[in-house]
Amino acid sequence: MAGKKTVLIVDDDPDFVESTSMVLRRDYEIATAGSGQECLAAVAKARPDAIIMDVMMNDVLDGLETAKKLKADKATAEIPVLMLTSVNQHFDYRNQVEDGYYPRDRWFDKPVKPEALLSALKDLVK
Amino acid sequence: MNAASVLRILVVDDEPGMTRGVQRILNGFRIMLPDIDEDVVFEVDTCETGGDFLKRLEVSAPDLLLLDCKLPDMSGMDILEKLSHPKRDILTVMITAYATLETAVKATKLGAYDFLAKPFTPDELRSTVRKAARDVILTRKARRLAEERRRMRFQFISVLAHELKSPLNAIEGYLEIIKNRSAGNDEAAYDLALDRSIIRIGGMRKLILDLLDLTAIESGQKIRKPESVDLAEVARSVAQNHQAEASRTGIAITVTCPEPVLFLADPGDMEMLLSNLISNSVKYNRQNGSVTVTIAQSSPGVRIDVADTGIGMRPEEVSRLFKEFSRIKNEKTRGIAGSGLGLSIVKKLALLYGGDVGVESEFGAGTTFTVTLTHFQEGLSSVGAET
Repeated sequence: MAGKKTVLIVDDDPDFVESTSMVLRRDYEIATAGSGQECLAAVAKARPDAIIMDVMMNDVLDGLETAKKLKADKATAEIPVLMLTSVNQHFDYRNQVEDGYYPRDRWFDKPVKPEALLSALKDLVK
Repeated sequence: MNAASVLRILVVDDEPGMTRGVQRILNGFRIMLPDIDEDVVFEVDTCETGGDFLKRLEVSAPDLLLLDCKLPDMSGMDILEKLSHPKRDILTVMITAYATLETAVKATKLGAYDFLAKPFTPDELRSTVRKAARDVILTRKARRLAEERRRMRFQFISVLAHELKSPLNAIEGYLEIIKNRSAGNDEAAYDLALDRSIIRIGGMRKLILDLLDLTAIESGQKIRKPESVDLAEVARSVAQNHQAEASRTGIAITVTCPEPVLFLADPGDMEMLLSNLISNSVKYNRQNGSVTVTIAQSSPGVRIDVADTGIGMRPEEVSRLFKEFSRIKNEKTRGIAGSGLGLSIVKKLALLYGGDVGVESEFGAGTTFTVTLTHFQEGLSSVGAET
């Protein structure tokens, strides 16, 4: 399927991955990962055009740490990352703006409507 | 010898002989409180007037106060009154020359803790101070424990809320997809969405039921009656209940107890214990693997081993095992549903029966849980939330 961009969905809840995939796969190639480690491995194998990542996975801030690693590496720094948080977390972590990291419009609170993700992807994936 | 807490005593009396005497007796006086595992030593300070005392109070307060009724500038009663507004955390022992019932009642109403009638012997002094010191230590311990309990309950509820949010979000996500036909004509997707939603609801139900079991154990509300239970029989019955689920992945559950193993226990407790152990072994197992349950008398009680040929655990995963809601989350376990409370329940039950639970595991090979039980216990005060 030439021409379809790839989106990597990273979340430790397999149902979130599945349901998001159901909506996005009509427009994108979907790759999945269940942890930060799996995400980095997947990115090394095949660079995605965008990443959707949960901030907290497996009870630690895995997603946040992985996003920082991706940003720190020149090879992956430009990949747009949509960060997903659970409501009571985002007050703490949204202030990662200062590093020019992930501007506010790239953060979404769970439960997130797949349509919102689609919309953001349309803007970010050119 | 235990570590000692230092309590500060302030003696307010204008008779230097008195204050020096008290200092001599109490410095180096060490109280041992073995039933609460603490020792107490004292730092004794003195002052001679009420005014002096009140000034000192602005800077720091003692833990115990030995207060003379008659001071050159004011009465002990006046000071007592000042100490009660605002209420302070100081235990006051009044030193009186004449202990009339009237003064005693008045002083008590003003907040005095105890009395020492002059002249008093060193033993009388030590006895009174011992009583007061014990009271201070116990009160502090009680407060610390209450604070600890509040903190842990808050944390428990926070984690619980998080555990329930995940399946709710997942189910809502799937329902929205079905409602909006967001997967287009992919009918298989809609079927999957419904199946997964039902599975996640089952998970939530299990979580709630496990939570009720856990709370029932901790609260002591459930009526538990000990009777002679054949653990081998209970194990066989529980194994049978799980056989259908086990068969789906080709797992055989074997109970190896040729003889009855009798143990005085509440049957419901034993069923809960074995059910959680066997359920775990079936879930975290490999295709066509096995679960072996061995129960034997092991003086003074019994020993239960549940071994599986499952995915095993790494050492750091083992260390987190018995915490509430702790579930081992890695690539191999991602698809496994569980409340995260099962082992917590097992541990609490083991402790309740004067025993414990241990685990041996080899990553990739299998795990064995060993539960020892010694005897039925009525009380639950020792089974707190801090396991």
